[in-house]
Formats: sequence, C-alpha cells, structure tokens
Amino acid sequence: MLEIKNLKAGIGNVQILKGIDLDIKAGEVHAIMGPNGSGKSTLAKVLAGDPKVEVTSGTIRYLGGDLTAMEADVRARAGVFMAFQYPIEIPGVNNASFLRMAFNAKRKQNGEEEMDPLEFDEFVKQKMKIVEISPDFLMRSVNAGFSGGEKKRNEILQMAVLSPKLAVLDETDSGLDVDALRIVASGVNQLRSKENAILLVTHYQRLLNYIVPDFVHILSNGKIIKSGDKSLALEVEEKGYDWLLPCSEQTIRGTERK
Amino acid sequence: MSAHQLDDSKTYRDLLSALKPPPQTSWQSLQQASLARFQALGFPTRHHEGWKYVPVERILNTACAEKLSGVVSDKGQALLKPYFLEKTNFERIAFVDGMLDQSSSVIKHLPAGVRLISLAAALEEQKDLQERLAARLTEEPNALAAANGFQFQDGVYLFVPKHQKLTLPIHLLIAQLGHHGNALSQHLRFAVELADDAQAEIVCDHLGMTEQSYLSNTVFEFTVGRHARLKCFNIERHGRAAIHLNAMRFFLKEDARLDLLSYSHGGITTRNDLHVTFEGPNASCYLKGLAVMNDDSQTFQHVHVKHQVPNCTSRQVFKNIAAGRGVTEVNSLVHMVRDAQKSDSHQLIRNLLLSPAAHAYARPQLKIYADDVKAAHGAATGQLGREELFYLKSRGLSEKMARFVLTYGFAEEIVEDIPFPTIRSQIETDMKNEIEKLVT
Ligand SMILES: Nc1ncnc2c1ncn2[C@@H]1O[C@H](COP(=O)(O)OP(=O)(O)OP(=O)(O)O)[C@@H](O)[C@H]1O
Ligand SMILES: [Mg+2]
Repeated sequence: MLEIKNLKAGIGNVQILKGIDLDIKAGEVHAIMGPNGSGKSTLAKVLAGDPKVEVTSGTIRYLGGDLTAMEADVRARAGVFMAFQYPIEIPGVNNASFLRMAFNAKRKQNGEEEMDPLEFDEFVKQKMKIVEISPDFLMRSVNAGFSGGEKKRNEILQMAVLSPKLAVLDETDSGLDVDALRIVASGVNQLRSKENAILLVTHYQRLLNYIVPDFVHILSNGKIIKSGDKSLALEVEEKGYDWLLPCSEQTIRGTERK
Repeated sequence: MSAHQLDDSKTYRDLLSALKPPPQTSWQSLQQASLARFQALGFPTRHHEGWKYVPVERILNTACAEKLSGVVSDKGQALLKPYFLEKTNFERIAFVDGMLDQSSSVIKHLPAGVRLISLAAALEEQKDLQERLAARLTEEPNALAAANGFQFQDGVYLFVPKHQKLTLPIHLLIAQLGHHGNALSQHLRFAVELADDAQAEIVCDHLGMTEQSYLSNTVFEFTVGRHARLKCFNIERHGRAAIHLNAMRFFLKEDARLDLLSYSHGGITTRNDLHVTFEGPNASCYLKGLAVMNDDSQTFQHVHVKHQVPNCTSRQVFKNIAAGRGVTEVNSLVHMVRDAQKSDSHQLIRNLLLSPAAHAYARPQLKIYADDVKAAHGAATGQLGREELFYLKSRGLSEKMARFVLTYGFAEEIVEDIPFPTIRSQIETDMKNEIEKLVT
C-alpha cells in the first residue's frame, strides 16, 4: 500500500529525514518509536502532504501512485489520514459542518451522493459513541478550547468519520488518561482490517498493548536504525534508545550527561 | 461613464457649491442650520482629521443628477421583490432611486401613538421636530452629513411613544435601480425618536441593483429615551460603482440600550460614520460590524463613542475582509469626559487580508479624561493561517474550500445572532457569494 524508498526531506535548509525505507502492506500495523526530534512527526507530515516539508529525494508510492505528486487534500480524499500530534484550533469553524464537509468531499470524489445534514447528524453521533465524545462537541468550533485529550479524541472521531485506508497517528496516545487510551485504541482497532493499514507514532509501549503492531521501527536522527516485532518496543521501554544508537552518537550523548 | 449621463448632471461638488437648499420646502430653518454648519466645516479634504484615507476627490467629483424621476417600472418592482423579506412580518417603507415608493411600501399594524411617516410630512406638521434636528446639527462634525440637511429630498420620521413597543420591526428599503439613465444621487434623512421605555427594531437596508455609478448620502438620527431599547441593522449591499456616505447618530438617554449591526459589501467607496453619544448614565451600546471588500472597494468605518456621563458601557467588534486591491479603515475613537466615571469600553478591530495588494488601517483610539474607568482595545490584521489551511486540506477540503471555510468562519460571528431569519439568511447568502468570489 505504501512504499517509501530512500526518502530525504527537510524544512527550510534543515535536513530532517535522511534516507527512509519503509514498506507497509494492506492489513498491517506498524509502529514507529524514537527519541524526541528524530523526525517522526516530519515523516507523518510528509505523508499527509504538509507543504512546509520539502522532499529532496527518494520516492513515496501509495496504492501504486506517486504520493508526493498529490496535494494534501487529494491525498486525504484518496484515503490518507494523519492524526496530528498537535491538532490545530480553528475558531469560527463549526465542528459538525467541518466533519460533514470533509466527509462529503470524499463521497463526491468517489462519485457518491453527498449526505444531507440530518442524515449526517445521525451518522456522526454513532461515531461519537465509539470514541465517547459528547454530542456537545459538534456545536463547538474545531478544537477551539478543547483540552489536550479532547483534541486527540476529536482526531480519532475525524478518522472514524473518514474511514481512511492509510491512517498515520502521530502520538495520539500522548496526554491521554487510561480510559481515553482504551477509547482511542478501540477507535483504531475498529479501523483495522485487511484493506487498511495503520502507522502509529508513539513513545509508549503501553499503547501497543492495546493495538498490537505487526512491526516496530526505531527512528533516530532521520533514519530507521532498527526494525523488529512488538518485542522491540518492550526492549526500548526497558533499555532506552542509547544501546541502539551508532557509537559516535552514544559518546556525544554520554558527554552531554556528564 | 458619460454615456449614462444626461445634460443636467453636475458633480457633487457643483451641487454643494451652489449652497442652496432645493426650493419649496417647509423646513427652511433646518436647512439654514445645516447650511451654516456646512459652511463652518468647509469641504472635507484629505488633510482633515477623519478624511485622511478617504478618497474625497472621488466623492466630490461623482456625477449627480439634480432631480430624479421617481417612477418605478413593473420591471423594477419585480427586481425589488426578492428583497422584501416577506417571510418575516415587517413594516416596510421603500425608497427607490431617492423617491418614496408607495407601491413597495406597506404599513400593517402600528400600535397606538406610533408615527411612521415621511420626514417631509413630519417636518411640515411639527415645528418642534425641525428645531430638535436643527439643534443637533450644530454639533455635526462631518461636513457631508451636514450638507445632507439642506439637500435631503425626503426620508422617514418614526416616533414610538412612552412604554410602547413596535409590534413589527421596520424595514427601510433604500434601493437604487438606476433605470433612468441619469447619473444618480440621493440624499435621504431619517429621524427616529424613541420615548422613555419604548422599543423598536429597525433594518436600514441599502441595496444597489445597478452597476452604474451613484452617490447615496444618508443620515440617520436616533434618539433613544430612558430605558428605551433600539436594535438597528445597517445592511449595505451596493453595486460596484456606488459611493455611499452614511452617517448614523445615536443619542442615548439614561439606561437606554443600543444594539447595532452593520454589514457592508461592494461599492467603490463606503463611508460609515457611526456616532454614539451617551447623554444619560447607565446606558449601553453594542456595535458590531463586518465589511467585505473586493477589487477596488473601499470601506471606511468611523466610529465615535462619546461617554459624556458616568456609568455607561460600550462594546465594539469590527471585522473586515479585504481582497483584490480592497481597502478597509476602521477609525474608532472612544472619548470619556472628566465626569464620565465608571465608564467601561471595549474596542476590537480585526482585519483579514486575502491578497498582497489589499490594505487595512485599524486605528482604535482613546481620549480619556476621567480617572476611574475601564477601557480596553485591540487591533489585529492578518492573513489566513498556513497551519489552519493545511489542517483543513489534510481532511480532504480543497484549497478553495479551505480558504472559504476559514474566511467565512472569521466573519460569521458578527452575523450569527441576527434575530430575523429572513435577514440573517439574506446576509449569509450575500456573504457566501462575496467570499466565494474572494477566495478564487
Ligand atoms: N520548522 C522547522 N524548522 C527547523 N527545524 C525544524 C522545524 N520543524 C521541525 N524541525 C526539527 O526537525 C527535527 C525533527 O522534528 P520532529 O517534529 O519530526 O521530531 P519528532 O520525532 O516528532 O519529535 P517528538 O518526539 O518530540 O514529537 C527536530 O530537530 C526539529 O527541531
Ligand atoms: Mg513529533
């Protein structure tokens, strides 16, 4: 479904991703872990089509097509969804109508009829039950004044409404209480199917108890330095990242600590 | 432009320079007072305070017909009809190309003692009204609003007596059809007096249905009595070549409350002078404005709230959206005199610029001579946020749709609590159409 080859990308003059190779097939769940600043969010943004991030070399193929040639909205309508690490507040834009517009934009793309507001209301309320968000949130502006955890749940609600083929979740578990974590996980697990793929960015192995990944990758300094199965996450939890890093970086980190 | 003009057109400057009231009016003393005031103020120039950014030359050089023919054709009637707001019950008085149009006006039910008549008729009957209006003119700061006092052709007088509440809101439809081929100019004046405890809702609906250039100089004077309450909606939907000078003066007595909403789009030049004077304590005013500018449109909102007595509250939110080479200015002065203790004011100006050539001038100003007051103000000008745009696009909204949603979201707060569904939906439709054009 997604094939990333030797991807290099940066913001402005800063090179952040330094050659990523990643192959995700339909039906798989991949987790990406790695130290702060290693480029996890940058990778997520590249996949979503953030114009801030510039791809300098390499290829990304999605369902056989060139993903980098597509604008962010085209990707979204083609089934790519990225849950933001820091969801954006949009005061003045009603959450319900935003959800409906997004939903209908995709329907239209697929040649389906748009859903009218009443019908959509029913539909979205069902989805809200799954992620346990009160319908009050429909009346509010998108993310405006939402608590950290509420924003994350709203991302999952959007995902549930749009039912993407490829979902990229950037630290959706950070800042969630245990209940919310369970809810987010069940939202993701509902999406899990033979046709869909999921890429989870996380710092905590905790989430992976709820959503069991097929593969775990460690991203460090813009490169995937190790891949494995879910046991890799446990190992990281226990030992940290240092043992995985190349010697040169270990020393630097070591000196910093003194 | 000259193809449209007949020989009798002059410029607005010519008309003003003649300095003579039109003949045969029975409100000579009002005219004399305004003439005197106009002469004392002189022609505005860009060097005058309050006219710095306003294209005064363009205004003064607009072609104006001295007389207007006032027959509204069936075709004209048909054009106007969709704007009658018929789904809500209104009293309606319509002016078409400067003339009172009886056939488009309808008065349904006026409570006892309420007067709703042509200003010309009211002035004829009531000498004291003429004196009250003349007295107000001595303080008029805007020369062109003063000029309206000797040029106005007609208008409306509304009086609501003590403890009385209008059964129906009033819809003043002020339309330009421009089918006569003349250069158009209209000078209308409206006087509203709400006695103590009275209540009224008034829609001042300026509508341009022609791309021909025209000049509209309208003056509204509202006296809001003790405990009285006025809700006023000023809606300006002009043709592209329109020039509109609109002066609204509100005088609030003790405990009075004013809610004003102003919506404006189109027109090459629109100047709104919104002045509120607190004449009695504990009064309050809530002013909201939205202007949408495209191409070469320019809108100038000059707000002046005068806290002349203690304990009054004023709130202002003005938002502007400018695209193309649009220009917006909000110049808002809150003035608190020495005795105006415990005054409380809040001014907020927010501009959204959608193109590099658009301009916004935001000037919240304070003149405070009392020491125990609250006065907050803020102004911000910005563009659509890249992060917000990306967020919306990442959910499948096209670039255009995302820009539309953000722009509409910026504006919507101003109009969302309009209590009349017909007006709200007309304004919303108008906003959608205008914003649609801006984001392409
Ligand atoms: N706009 C920018 N300009 C310059 N550098 C940037 C910019 N945005 C991100 N970076 C840098 O890119 C690197 C990778 O950032 P990224 O957000 O992808 O890290 P991350 O792995 O998601 O970290 P975290 O775990 O803290 O979320 C960081 O060093 C960051 O400072
Ligand atoms: Mg991150």
